[in-house]
Amino acid sequence: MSEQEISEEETLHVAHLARLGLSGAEVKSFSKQLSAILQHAKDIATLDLDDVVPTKHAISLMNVMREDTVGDSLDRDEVLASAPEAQSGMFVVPKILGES
Amino acid sequence: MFEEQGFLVTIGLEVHCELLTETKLFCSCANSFGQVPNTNICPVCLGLPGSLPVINSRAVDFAIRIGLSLNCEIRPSVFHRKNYFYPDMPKGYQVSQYDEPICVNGYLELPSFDKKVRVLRAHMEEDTGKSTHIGRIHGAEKSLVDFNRAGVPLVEIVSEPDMTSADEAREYVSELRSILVASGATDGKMEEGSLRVDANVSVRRVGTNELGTRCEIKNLNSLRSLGRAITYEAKRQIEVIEDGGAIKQETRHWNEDQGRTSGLRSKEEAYDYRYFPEPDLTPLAPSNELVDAIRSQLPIMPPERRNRLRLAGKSENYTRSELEQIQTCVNFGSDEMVLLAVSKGVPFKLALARAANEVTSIFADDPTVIDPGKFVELVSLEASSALSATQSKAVLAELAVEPTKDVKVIIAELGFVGLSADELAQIVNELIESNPKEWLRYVEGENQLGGFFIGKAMKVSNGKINGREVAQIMERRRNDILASR
Amino acid sequence: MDLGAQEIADLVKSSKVSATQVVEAHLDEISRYDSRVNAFLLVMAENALEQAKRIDVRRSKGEELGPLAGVPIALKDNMAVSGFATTCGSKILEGWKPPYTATAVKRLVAADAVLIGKTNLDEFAMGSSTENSAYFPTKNPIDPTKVPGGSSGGSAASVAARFTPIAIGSDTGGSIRQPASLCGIVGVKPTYGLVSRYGLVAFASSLDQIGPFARNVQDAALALQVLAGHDDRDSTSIPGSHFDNSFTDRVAGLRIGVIQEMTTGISGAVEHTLNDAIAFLRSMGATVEAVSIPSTTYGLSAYYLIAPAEASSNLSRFDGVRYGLRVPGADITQTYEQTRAEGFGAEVKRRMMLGTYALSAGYYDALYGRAQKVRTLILDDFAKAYGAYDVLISPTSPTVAFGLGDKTDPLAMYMADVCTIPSNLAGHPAMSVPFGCDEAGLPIGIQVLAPAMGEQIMFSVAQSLQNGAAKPAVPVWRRD
Ligand SMILES: [Mg+2]
Ligand SMILES: [Zn+2]
Repeated sequence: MSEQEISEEETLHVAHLARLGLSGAEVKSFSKQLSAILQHAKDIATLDLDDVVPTKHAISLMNVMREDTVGDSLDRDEVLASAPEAQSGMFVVPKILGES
Repeated sequence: MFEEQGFLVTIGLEVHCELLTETKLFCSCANSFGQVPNTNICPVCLGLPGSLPVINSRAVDFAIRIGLSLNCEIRPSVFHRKNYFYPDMPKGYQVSQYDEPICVNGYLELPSFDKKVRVLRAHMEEDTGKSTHIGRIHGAEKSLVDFNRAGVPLVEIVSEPDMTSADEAREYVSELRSILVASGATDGKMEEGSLRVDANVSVRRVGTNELGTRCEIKNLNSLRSLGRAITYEAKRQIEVIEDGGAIKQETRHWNEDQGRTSGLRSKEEAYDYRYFPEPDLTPLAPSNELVDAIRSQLPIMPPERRNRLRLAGKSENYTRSELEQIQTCVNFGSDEMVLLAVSKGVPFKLALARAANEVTSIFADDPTVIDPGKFVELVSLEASSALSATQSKAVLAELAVEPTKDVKVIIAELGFVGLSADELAQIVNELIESNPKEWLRYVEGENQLGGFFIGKAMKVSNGKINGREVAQIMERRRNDILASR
Repeated sequence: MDLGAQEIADLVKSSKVSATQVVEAHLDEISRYDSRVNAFLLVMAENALEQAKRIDVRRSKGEELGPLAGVPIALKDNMAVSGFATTCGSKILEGWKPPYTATAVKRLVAADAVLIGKTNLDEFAMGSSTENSAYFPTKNPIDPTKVPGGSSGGSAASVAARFTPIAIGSDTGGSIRQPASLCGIVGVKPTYGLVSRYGLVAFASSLDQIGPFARNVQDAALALQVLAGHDDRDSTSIPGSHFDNSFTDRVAGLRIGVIQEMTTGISGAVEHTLNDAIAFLRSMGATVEAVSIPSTTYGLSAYYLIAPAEASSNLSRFDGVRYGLRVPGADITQTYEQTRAEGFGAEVKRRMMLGTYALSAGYYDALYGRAQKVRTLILDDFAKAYGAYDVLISPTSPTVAFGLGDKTDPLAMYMADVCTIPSNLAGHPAMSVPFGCDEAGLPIGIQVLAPAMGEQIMFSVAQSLQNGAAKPAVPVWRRD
């Protein structure tokens, strides 16, 4: 393998997009492993796919919809009971950047 | 307004509109405003593991209605996932339409600018929940999250950057709101967040063609905020450029109290939403039959209604205030009454004035209360001079209190029943006899004494006479005398 | 308990045995031997006994019972059962109890099956050995030094160890068929859309399917008949779909293709078993020929871009806000990063990173976009092959079960799915039937592939293969 497909810097950027805190060692090992996997996936780079339509779904269903009628909602207390933190009937989260 | 400074302003608007469905976009939780927090939630809108979305068919109907009302083409569409993390977004992605939206290539007319603003697209997406910052708990800054709004169906309407002033932008939103409300797809309540506007604003020097770098302003929840924010932002950008600086493309927040926009504090982060087709939903391809059926159910839209009024007035040149009255009638929905009155022979301007001014203020709480038939009856009486303007307005006020009461009964109760021609002539005769000096002066040309006689006649008749009729009788008498000389 | 599902249902329906007796016997077996296998994350003993009792009461009242009357069933722990912990083999969901039940599980309960427990899996179904469980690895009942395959290793082990006659798994790239092959049992991945995914915690939404494990083809069919059917909570559920559990074992006159691309790089024992299967099918009157499906070669690459991409998005909801683990930080971003760093294991992180990368600006077209086009090629190639052949066969796994801890290189592990992945990309049904074993007695399965909704003919061929599998050649679990 000549060059790493994905650098450590890119690995860090991707980790941030995925909101995954990585240790320095993890950044190194993921960078290597992801590069190896991507290197293997390069076999599809050689295919001539210009005129091929991408497949989004294996089955071709269309317009699957439901009626606009109200159904049951969950019990609030039951839902909040599994929340890491709750108060006044709401989910509590740590400070959101940009809010004041 | 910035042209004298040598700058042009360019504005494009993104309007999010909540649809008036019974349930959310992808689940059967109630779509209703102002409920106890976290009571309209289910596995789907809470993004619980294993839950799956199913598209609400009425939301699709509404999106098509909106598209047709904005002269859009209705296209096959695909939902995508827009991936980003935010605590009020339960799944870590928003389901939205990306490069294959349901409505494209429409337009909207700005009535008082005689201008078309192009609508690039209108697409469907789900709303997020709501977070509220509450300050410190146990020493740490916290926010509370309510997911009742998460998953509420939205249509986002994106205009081309075709507007060049705050006034145009305000009129765009105002007209858009009228059209959306008329389509039945939304209630258009900006104060409740049913309609939310983001403005993309850029400036460039006069004489240059390339658009300047734009900033997106969020949190514009009234027409007033929209106008102020655009003006402020344009001014700010011009100052930056004149100081030799460059505009940074960013999202800015409008602070209504401070009257200024500010850059959102966020880490230097390139947004990368990693859109991809939502595998849990099927594509939408509304059939021509469905689109035609929805089209046939659409009411007449505001532009067409304005046009009908203008035609009914048979004028080429309306004054600005008349144009405003036409717009008011259309927005309020009193335009049909005007058309009805005109068809019964009532002068257009009289019917328009009453429908735009009195009806809209007296029936502001509930426009449906007034019976168009009674309106026509009333303005007809006014047109034939059987009622004065003041009397006509008083009858309207009474109709607001008792909408089912007969117009004639109200007139009688208010003592507005006119006197017979003989009775009126008799009163005028008596007044002439008892005030010979004043009569002579009137005959000799002192017209202002007409008012003296009308006042007396009012008094004698307890206000039951129509001043104009008294004036007509006096005029005839004077002409008779002058002719016999 | 060596009874199969059909036998149990018949005995319970005819009142020869009570559901309670059946459930007690199976619970007893689990409590005695699961420590050797580690198939279960949760045994729902109390609930199972209550359910059994209700079935017995209904039977005593003369009520007619469902097709799975009293049959104990184990569920892979990525399917929601209201009120019972669903971990997906991950720390991030430890202790979370869903407030709703998966449609597939509801259908089983409605058929009077008894839910006996939740089985171990590779975390979020990502893996081919069940070693990626955050709790413990499951062992292959045939040889406890070997892996059971994965990701539905716990379910496969439960059936192979005779803890339950049927277990339910999910298959995204081979997660039912590969462990079935490695454990010497039958495993079915149905047509995409035949079984509702509602309540199955998503790994890769466009590939995931729920399906059954059983010790024989008939029991697998019985379970699939119950599982299959349209669900209006799942937009990708096929309208009007069902599976009718009546099929023959006749292959005479059938045209069967052997996928050439899946016969290279396989072990000698696997090749030997495949040849035996071909010879047997020919002896039964089928025409068996080699067929090339060139694009399947690219299946692995396409799969390892599409599945991680969808997974990276599906797993974004595990953010420590509404349920599950939270590792608090100074602000929300730090909380996300710490929660997810601690809650997810290495393989899940690796795939989320890969998927995030494949979707990110500048790489979408070259990676995710191309992979979706490869998917089209595979569909086209399969369509061509099914023009000439009724069904296709291949090995299920290139090798027999490997040793616990033997495969440390992620890419080498991914190769375990090379034969099973194309069916997921195409949305086609496929199943694994045990047909032989290697010199060490480790099982080898044959994969039968069919076109979309071709379950009927697929089961016929599988049934025939089952008849032809030399009985002593397919090893079984030895209790002592
Ligand atoms: Mg949007
Ligand atoms: Zn909901």
